[in-house]
Amino acid sequence: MSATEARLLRVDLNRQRWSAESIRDDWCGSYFGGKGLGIRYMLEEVPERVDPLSKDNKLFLMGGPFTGTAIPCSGKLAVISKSPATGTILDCSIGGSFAAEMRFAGYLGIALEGASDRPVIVFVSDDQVEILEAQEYWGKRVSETEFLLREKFGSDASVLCIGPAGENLVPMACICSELYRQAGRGGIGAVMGSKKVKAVVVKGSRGVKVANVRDLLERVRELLKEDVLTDTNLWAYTDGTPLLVGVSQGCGLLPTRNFQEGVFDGYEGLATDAVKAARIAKKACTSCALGCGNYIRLGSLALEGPEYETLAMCGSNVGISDLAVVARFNALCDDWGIDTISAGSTAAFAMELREKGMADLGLQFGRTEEYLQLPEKIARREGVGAELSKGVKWLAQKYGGEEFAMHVKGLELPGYDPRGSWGMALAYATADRGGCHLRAWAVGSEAFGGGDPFTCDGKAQLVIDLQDFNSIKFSLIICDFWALSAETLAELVSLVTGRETSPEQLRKAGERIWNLGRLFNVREGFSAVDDIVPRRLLIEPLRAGPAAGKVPGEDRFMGMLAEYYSLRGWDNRGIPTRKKLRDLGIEEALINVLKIPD
Amino acid sequence: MLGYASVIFQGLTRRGADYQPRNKGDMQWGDFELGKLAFDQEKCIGCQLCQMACSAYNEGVFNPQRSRLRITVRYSGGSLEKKGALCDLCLACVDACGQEAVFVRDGRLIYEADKCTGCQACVDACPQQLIRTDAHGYPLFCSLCLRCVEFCPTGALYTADVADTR
Repeated sequence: MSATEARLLRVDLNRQRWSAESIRDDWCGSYFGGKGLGIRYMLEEVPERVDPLSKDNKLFLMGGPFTGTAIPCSGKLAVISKSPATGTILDCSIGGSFAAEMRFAGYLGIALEGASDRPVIVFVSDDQVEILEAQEYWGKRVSETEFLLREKFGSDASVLCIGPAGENLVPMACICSELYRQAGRGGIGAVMGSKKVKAVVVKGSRGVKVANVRDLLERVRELLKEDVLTDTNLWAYTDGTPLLVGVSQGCGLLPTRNFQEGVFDGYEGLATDAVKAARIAKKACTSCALGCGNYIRLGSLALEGPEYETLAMCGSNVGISDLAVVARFNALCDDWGIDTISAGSTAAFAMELREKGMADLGLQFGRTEEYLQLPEKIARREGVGAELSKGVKWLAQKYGGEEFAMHVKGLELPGYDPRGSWGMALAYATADRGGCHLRAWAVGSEAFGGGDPFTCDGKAQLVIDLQDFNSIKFSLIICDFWALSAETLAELVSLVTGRETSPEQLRKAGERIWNLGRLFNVREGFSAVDDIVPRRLLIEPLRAGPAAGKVPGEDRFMGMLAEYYSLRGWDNRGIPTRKKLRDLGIEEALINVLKIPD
Repeated sequence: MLGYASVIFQGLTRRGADYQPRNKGDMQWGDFELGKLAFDQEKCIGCQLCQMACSAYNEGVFNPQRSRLRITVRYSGGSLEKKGALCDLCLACVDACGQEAVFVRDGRLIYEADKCTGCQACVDACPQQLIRTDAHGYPLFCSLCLRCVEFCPTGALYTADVADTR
């Protein structure tokens, strides 16, 4: 094995066996790692239309070529599977130290395949891999699980685990690490639960070698000063994501009371100053120079968080302005293993159903008592949790309210109302995993970045550029919060891999990876009709704030979507054309297997 | 005692042809006329860039387990626990070494690998259990190259005068 060779550890849970193999060199060159490589494996190895919670689905834990090096903001792990919430491809990103530790152990990725018939823990320490009985941990919450496992395997071990929600196959269950970091969305924790894997524990002693260590170190030293620790990025350290509460409020796009409003009277209670007043420490992921994590203490409660999405979706969006309540809800979701965005969004939908007299699921805007019982009920699927655990799409199918059911493809929407930044409507509609802001954070260029938020002109290209760039960023794995250029990325790739790489090659790889995700979704039956946002966001004007009275409207939205397909080289059903796929160098075999029309 | 302390490595010849010297000629060294390393845990965010830089500059591999300092930041039962261990030039290793392979001369801490037998008495003596060993069992001493300080994004690592803080 050469020092820089990329290896995949396969854990076969059906037979309780494992094996390690080299990752195809051409795949490393085309897809790099993380998201791209994960999707490539999913297309190759997971059969069409498989039940996401069956043993035929796989779960890939992937690092990238930068993982475990001193490259700043390279510490995150990509988790790739098919989503039980949406049925789409799903890639999540989780911070902490797990990815670096996995790489130190000698693996670029770990694939969890098949399903165990009893709870297990997968323990990896360099060449030693064990699949251990985990009955005693099953049912335990995240914090207890993690403390017990660190006691057992040593405090230097990195733990990735699920809580009771994942065990109970809740489609909004997350995977957790270091108590407060999550691969949150799309029910990725339920996939792990369906395989009966309570935790993956990893320790590595081998380290990571790169092609040109000395030049890389010198370049990183410069970049730290010139490109990372600069005003562009340091908001992550000084404030972290809570900074966005005030920004969103100021732009009139802070989701409030299930997106009925875009400004929230009580926003100051959730704003960055409130979080900073409670802050006792800053915390970074491995190799991150920014350290966005805010460790706060409010009375007896201590946690890292809440992040902006939680403050919005579990605060303003449910009509709650008390940071202590949002923080408590956040801590409960973390501990039971639930995604805060989907939990908050689902609660808000239930609250509006009640307000409109359509259903009473015991939740009411601004009321905290029942709200704080929700995480446990969802995780256990007990009481109202039995239905609420299924998310907004399912609730709307049962109780109605489709036009204000805030999801795309079954994934609940995060904290940016597209009526205050119209490109976000397209970003949500076309996101590979459903209603997600991370594929194309158009709002950063529009409402937050000085662009015109109330036009559809130019937004198709903006969303495409962001999706493609983030695809490569999430495959090489650099955190969202380092706003680096394609040129810098290419320089780092060249130094790490020894293969001279141009920014143009990376842009193309990003486009290739985005198309690959689309192919997966096309194979699963998704098409243009699914690329839509809830009707409220297109036609129902906000009544107050800077975005009052501004709606993109259905026609303009459809025009923007058609422009998007055309610029992407997709047909009007949203299917990539053979010509586009050939241009991108996507294997002919794949095109044929997927029956892509001419 | 040591006004300005530094560490010099001499002689790397006795370990046979396959031995890769830890401190290669092509590594750049910091200014030797500096004080000791110091750690302000309040400022530390637990990024480990110090240990990444240390191991990569000195060993050519990114591996915190091969670094000359050890800083861990972890959540443990209601608090964020920060532990830092770095060479503060207490000289327990000098006292422990029976071979005079590590010693003080002209205000500098010197390690002569030629004299070292790999007995690891220094490893056992280090009150911070900081001294790790290479694959051959020889000690990895901090050379005060200060790469960790350069890579620390928050100023949690810095240099302090030995006399001031001892």
